[in-house]
Amino acid sequence: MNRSENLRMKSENQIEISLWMSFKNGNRNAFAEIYKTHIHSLLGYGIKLCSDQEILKDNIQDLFIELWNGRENLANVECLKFYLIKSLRYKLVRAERKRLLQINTDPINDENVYKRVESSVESEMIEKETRAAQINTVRKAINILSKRQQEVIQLRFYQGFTNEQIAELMQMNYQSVSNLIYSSLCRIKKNLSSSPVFTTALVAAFSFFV
Amino acid sequence: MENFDENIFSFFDDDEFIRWVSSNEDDADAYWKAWMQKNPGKIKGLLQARQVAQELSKAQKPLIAKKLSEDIWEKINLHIEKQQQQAFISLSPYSPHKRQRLMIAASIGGLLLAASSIYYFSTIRIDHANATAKITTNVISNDLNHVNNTPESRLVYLVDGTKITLQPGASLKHAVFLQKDKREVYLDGDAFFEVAKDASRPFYVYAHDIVLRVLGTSFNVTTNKKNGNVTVLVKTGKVSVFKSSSKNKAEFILTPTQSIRYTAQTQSIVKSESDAELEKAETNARRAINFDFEETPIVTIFSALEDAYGIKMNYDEKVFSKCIITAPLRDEPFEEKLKIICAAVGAKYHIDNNEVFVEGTACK
Repeated sequence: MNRSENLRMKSENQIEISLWMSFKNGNRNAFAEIYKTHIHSLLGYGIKLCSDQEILKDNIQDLFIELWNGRENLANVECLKFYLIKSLRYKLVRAERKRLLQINTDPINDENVYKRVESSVESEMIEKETRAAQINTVRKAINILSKRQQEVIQLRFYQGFTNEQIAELMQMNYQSVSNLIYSSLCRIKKNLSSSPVFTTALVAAFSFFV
Repeated sequence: MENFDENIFSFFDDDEFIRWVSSNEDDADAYWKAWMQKNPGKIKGLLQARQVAQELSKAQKPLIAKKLSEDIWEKINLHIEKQQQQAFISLSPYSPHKRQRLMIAASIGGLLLAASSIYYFSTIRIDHANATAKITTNVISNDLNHVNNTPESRLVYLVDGTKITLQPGASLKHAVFLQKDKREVYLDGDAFFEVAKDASRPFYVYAHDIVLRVLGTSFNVTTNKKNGNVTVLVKTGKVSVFKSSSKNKAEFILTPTQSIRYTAQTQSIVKSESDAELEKAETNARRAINFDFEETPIVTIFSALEDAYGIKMNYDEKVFSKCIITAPLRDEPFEEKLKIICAAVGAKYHIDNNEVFVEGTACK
């Protein structure tokens, strides 16, 4: 990396460190900046894991309030985005588990939590969009995947996490992450080729390579 | 199940590739530029993989209204405010009426307390930029002229990250924000240069009849006002030296420990491999300005920057009086420092007429 890139990355990092330290010391403006910087990532991630918009809102709210209240005892994190996503995931899985317990008495583990989330906030939005005739075929193709597959594709391609980070988040080993991404991509390709509309470069690229 | 292309997937498995794609830049960065040079046959595959990855990313952009994030923030804010009020109320045994008056009194008291603590910080804390005597910096039209009228060597910072140690009596002139395609400074007296690397902007030092051209190096220059003689001693990197009147812009190229002596009377340049006398007279210990700010009022940091760079900082003191931040700065360029400091309080800066203007909202 040349110097100006190094500097840019370093200064992005320094901005993050500076914000984090100022926030820990009670600076409300720094806290607001941290929120602004990460909220879209968190929302983008949350709408996939969560079946209810209100539950998502509540949990993000709780996440930041707890952050603020416990700020003095927080360690210095290496990657803030990862820390926030991980914390949100923990909350959402717990909330989902609780919700299912209330409507179901079967023993629940993580896998079941996934399987039983029939519709996520996002799938409802897609329904609406589809009805409004604004179809993004790739988005639809991704949305038909299992929740676990969707999550890994989101973490890798939208959030941009390393395989190691994804392994930690989803509690898998490194190789399993790689395999899961691969099988998800195969599935997306399959979904796209059975879709009646071939519009995006992605679709073309997918079908070009066998 | 149809197979996904192995070639594209091998890129997707590479964290470095994902980092590049996530950075959302159109140009390849240095790492991938170098990779493409080494693997010309694979460039097409790389770019196709990139396109696919970007499509995947775009397809997952959240379909949410901006209002949602604003609503959540409002709730968070309200909650925190309420908590702070409740904390106060639980401490006081007073009735609701008295509580209200007390709260108003407390907030005024809080202001006073904050004001006095700022005063405390700025006098007791180790003064970052204040030495007993400072360089005088004058602004003459578009230029900054730094003069070291002190008996000790002093550091001058340029906006690109270059550090120059001016010896007593030396002076340095340059355009405030340097130029777009080059960086030029005019030196009188003795100075030690640590030039920040910037391949797009060569650095020129004009010392009497001599011109030095560098990209990023460290070297010492002495100029004698009386007889116009100049010496240059290179510490790191490469410096090319030529007479200002000379057509050939690379009359001498100096590498570490090499030096030249220019005699004005004879207009001759003599190069030597190592010059013991020059080496002895080299850099005195310089007192560097510490930019590593911990829990410091932002106003103090603005002053420190003004002192170090000689560039005027304009801001509303009332607005920023309560802002205390931590900014671990080092030797990054001036504007990087500004970005970091402003980001800490959600402020914005712009540069106008060679001065900096900072705008933002008050800190709570």
